[in-house]
Amino acid sequence: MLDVGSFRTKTCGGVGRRAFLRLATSVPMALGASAAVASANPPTARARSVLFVFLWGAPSHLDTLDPKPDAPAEYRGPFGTIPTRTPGLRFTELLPQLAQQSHLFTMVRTHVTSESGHPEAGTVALSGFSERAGPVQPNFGAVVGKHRGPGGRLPAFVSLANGVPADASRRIEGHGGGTLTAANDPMMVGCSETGKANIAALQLLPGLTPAQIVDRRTLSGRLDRAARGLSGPAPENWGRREQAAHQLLTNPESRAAFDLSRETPATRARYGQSEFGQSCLLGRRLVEAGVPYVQVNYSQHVEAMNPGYEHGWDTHLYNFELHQDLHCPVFDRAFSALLADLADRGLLDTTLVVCMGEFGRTPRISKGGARDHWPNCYPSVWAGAGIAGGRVLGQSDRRGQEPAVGRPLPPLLVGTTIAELAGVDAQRRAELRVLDGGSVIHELL
Amino acid sequence: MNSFRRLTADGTRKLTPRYIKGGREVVYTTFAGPKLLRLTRLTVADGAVAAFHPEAAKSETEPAFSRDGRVMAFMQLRGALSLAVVIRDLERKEPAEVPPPGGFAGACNPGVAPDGSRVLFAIAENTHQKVFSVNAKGGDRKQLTDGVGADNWPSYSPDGGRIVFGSSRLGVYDLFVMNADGGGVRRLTHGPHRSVRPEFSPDGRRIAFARFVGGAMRVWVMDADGRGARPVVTDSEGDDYPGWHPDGRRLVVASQRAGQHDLYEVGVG
Repeated sequence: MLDVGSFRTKTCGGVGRRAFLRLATSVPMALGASAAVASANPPTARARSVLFVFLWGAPSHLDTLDPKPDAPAEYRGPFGTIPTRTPGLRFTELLPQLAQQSHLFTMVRTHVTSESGHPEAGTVALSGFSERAGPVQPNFGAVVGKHRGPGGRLPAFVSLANGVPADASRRIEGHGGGTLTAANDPMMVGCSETGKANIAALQLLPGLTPAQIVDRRTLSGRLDRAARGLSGPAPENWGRREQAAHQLLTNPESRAAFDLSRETPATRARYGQSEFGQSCLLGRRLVEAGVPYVQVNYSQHVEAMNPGYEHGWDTHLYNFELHQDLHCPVFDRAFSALLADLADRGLLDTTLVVCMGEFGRTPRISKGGARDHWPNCYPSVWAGAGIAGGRVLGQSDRRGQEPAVGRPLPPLLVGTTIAELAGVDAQRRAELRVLDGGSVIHELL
Repeated sequence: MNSFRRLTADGTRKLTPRYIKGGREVVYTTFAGPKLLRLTRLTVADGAVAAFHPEAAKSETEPAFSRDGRVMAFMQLRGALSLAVVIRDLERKEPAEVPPPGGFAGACNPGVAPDGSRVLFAIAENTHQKVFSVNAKGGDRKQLTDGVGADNWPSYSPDGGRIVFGSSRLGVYDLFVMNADGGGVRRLTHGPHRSVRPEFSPDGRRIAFARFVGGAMRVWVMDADGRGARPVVTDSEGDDYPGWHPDGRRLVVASQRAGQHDLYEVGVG
C-alpha cells in the first residue's frame, strides 16, 4: 500500500530539480536529522505523541460544535441539536457519533485568533504567531519534533495531506520548521480514500524498487546521480537526507507504519472510506509506532468548490449543504472513530489529541445564504494525555460571536499547552526560542 | 425490513441518484477523484457505469429530469464557488442556463416540471435561499417563496400543480407543500430533527424524503398530505437521497454500509 519509485519528473539532464527538491524538503526529520537530540520522553511529558487534527478551511462552529438554536433565524442555521454524553453539552445533529464520544474529550469554546485570511490565520493556528519578514515561528509539531527527535526510525513530525496546506493563493508559511530551519519540516504523506499512503519522498527515483533500496549502495548511487543531474548546487545536508530516506525505506517496521492494509477490514470501515478517514487511521498507526507529532489535515486546500481543488471547509457558498452532505458525515465518522480507537487500544492515556480549525465562521448568515470567516470565536476538542473527558471549557455568547464565559484563548496558548504536555517545558522553549510569551491553558489540565 | 438490492459496489461516495429511461438507468453524482464531481450513468441490468458527460472537465451534480427524460437540469461549476443551473433538452439539443450571479453565488437542487416546461431551483440572494422557477429556456423567472429561513430541494408533483420543498422557516428543516405558483403553503412535517430532499411518488400520493432519526439519516415515506410517515427500514448505517422508480414501488437510495457508499434499490410496496 505504499507508492515507491513511481514518481516521474525527469529532464534531459536526469532527475529534474523539482523532484530533487521534493526529496530534499520532504524527508527532513527522519532518523539522521536530529538524532543528537533524540531522547526518551522527559519525566514531565504526559503526551508520548500528539495528534493535531487540523480542520483547515474552518468549519462553521454554529453548525457543528457550538449550536445556537435559540438565536434569531439570521444566525441559528437549519439544523437541530442533539445531546452528547456530557451533561449540558449539545452539538448539532450533524455530529451524532462524536456526541457519543464526548466522555473522552474536553470541549473548548472560547478560541480567538488575530487573522481572518486563510494562509495568515493558518500560520497563527499552527505556530502561534503572525507572519513576518524572514523565517516564521515554527509549527508546534516542529517544536515537539525538534525537542523529542524521531520516533525510532520514523520521522519526528509527519503531516498528512497531499501537499503543504494552502489556499488557492498560497501555502501556509507556518506549516514547517520556520526559525528551527527546514530540517524540522514535517514529512508530508498523502492518503487516498482507499488507504493508500503516498510518500512523496519515496517516489523520486524511477525504477527503484524497495528491494533495490535495501542495497544501500544502490540508493547512494542513485541519489548521487540525481544530485549531479541538478542545474544548481546540491543542497546542504544531502548525506543526512539520503540516510534518512534510506533508513525509512529499509526498515520493515517503519514501512509497516504507513501500510493500512495491515488493519482489519472492520477497523478500516470504522474510519470510513474517505481521505480524511483513512488519514486519521494512518495517524493512529503512526502514533502507535512512536511518531511524536502527527498533523492530520482535513484537506490540502480550503476551497469548498473550486475547479481543480478538492472539497474543503471554506463554505462561503452552500455552507449548510456542504456541512450536511459532505463534510460532517466524513468528519463525524472519522474523528469519533479515532478517539474511540485510541481509547480502545489504551493509547489515549499517552496521546494528546487536539482538533480545531484556523478560525470560525460568521454567526450571522451571509447574503449568499452561507457563512464567511470569523476569527472572534471558535471551538476546539482536546482529548488524551490526562485531559479529563466530559467537560466544557468556556462558553460563547448567545449568538456565537464572542467568548462570554472564560478567557479568550489564542493559538499561542494552544501551542504552548501542546508543547508542555509533550515535554517541551518553559526552559526548553526558551532554549529553542519558541512560543515566546505563551502560557499553558491550565484550565485544561 | 424492506427488500433491497445493491446496484453499485465500488464504495465511493454517491449523491443524488435519479432513475431515467423507465427505470433502466440511474444518473447520479459521484467523486471522480477528490477534485471532481461527475454525473454518472448506471445501467441497472448489468451494473455498467459510464460518465454521463464524458467531456465534462468541471464538477457537475444534482441531476433532475422531466417525466419523459427529455428535459434535464443540473448544477455545473463555473468558477470559484460559482455554479450555473444548466438546462438541456436532450432531444432538441437546445441548451439553456441560469447563470451564476457575480462573486460567490449560485443556485442548487434543481427540479424539472413533469412536462419539462419549467425548472425550479433554490438560490440565496439576500441571506436565505428561496425557491424560484424559470422556463426551459432559463427565462421568465419567478420567485415562489419568501420570508425567514432557508428553502431548498423543490420538487414538482406529477401533475405539476404542487411543489414540495424543505424549509427552516420554523426552526430546523421541515417539509412543506405549496401550489405551483407559490400560494397555499402547508407544513407536512414537524421536527424536531431535520427532514430533507422530498420527492413525490409517480402517482402523486406519497412523498419520499430523508430524515435524521436515531443518530443517522434514514429514508422515510409519507402520504402526500403529511400523514402516515414511516421509515424505509434497511440494515444500513444510513440511507439518503431517495429517488422514485417510475413504477412507484421502489426507491433508489444512497446507503452507507461498513463505511462504504453505494446505491441500493429498496422496495416500498
